[in-house]
Amino acid sequence: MEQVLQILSELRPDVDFTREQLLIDDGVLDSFDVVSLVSELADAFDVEIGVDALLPENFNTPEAMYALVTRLQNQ
Amino acid sequence: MERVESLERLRELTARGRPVMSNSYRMLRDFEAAIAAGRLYACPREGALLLMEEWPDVFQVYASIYDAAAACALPRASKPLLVEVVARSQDARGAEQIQYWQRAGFALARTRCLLEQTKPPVGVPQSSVRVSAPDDRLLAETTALFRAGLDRLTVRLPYALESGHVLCALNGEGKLMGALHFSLANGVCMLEHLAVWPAYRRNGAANALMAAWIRQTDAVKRRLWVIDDNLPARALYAQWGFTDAARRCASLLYPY
Repeated sequence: MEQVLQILSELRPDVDFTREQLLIDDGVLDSFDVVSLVSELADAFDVEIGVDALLPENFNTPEAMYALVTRLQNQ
Repeated sequence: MERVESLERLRELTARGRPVMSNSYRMLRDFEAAIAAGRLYACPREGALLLMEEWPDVFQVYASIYDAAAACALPRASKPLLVEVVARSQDARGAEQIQYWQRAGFALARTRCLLEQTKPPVGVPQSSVRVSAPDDRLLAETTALFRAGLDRLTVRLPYALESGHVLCALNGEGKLMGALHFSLANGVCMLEHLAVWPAYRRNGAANALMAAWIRQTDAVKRRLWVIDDNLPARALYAQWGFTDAARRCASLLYPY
């Protein structure tokens, strides 16, 4: 989980990710941020994040992102 | 070149693993409108997948590149091809991708930077210019205004401007001085186009439009892209509290 937060804070040092709950739905992260994030998360967790996973609910919170990569690691 | 008929087909086309380079900064849902309107095409190639969204003036290409060394065979099309490469300011991957497209025959048209309103306006002179929503006549004139200044704005225009997302600055006789077009999604209000006819510049039209835009829209965030060498525009936006959001976009064109 710390790794997810570290990736997020390097991507967007201007955002307090411990407070935001709707990162996509509130426009904190846009599609470009998500695509950049996918690349970083895939490298860090050694998973393949397919286009089907590029949904707002998977990226609205750091917890959701961590749940996504954990799910993919367990597949 | 095949027309993409459904999201399901788009999923099939994109299920090729992770690309080594991509300028497809979109989630699947961002393609839904284009698919529904029959404006999204796909060109699978050995080393790349090109998705092409048709606009009045260009095909905008969203590419996933699987082999950066392979030459990209461009499809025959009835309009110029536009590629936009977005990168965070210090990210070298943007430059690599620009070189890829230049090797394929694209020419760099312009570079833009993203600005976000992070401060209140400072030193903005009051403007008495009237701003109103457009009727059909003004909407047509606004389209003509934006089209006339296409090389100074974003490269592509939408198929139709929505009157609810356009503001017009009018002189005392009701003639169009300038206009502002915006979009609103996910709490982000994006200034898409802002232009003033040359004869009406330095009359407060731009400030009146900015004031009306901010007053009339309720947004968590406000952003815009400005062409790097458009110094008057950058000065205007700085006065309105817009600062650098550390993201760059290079627009490359392949003429047909």
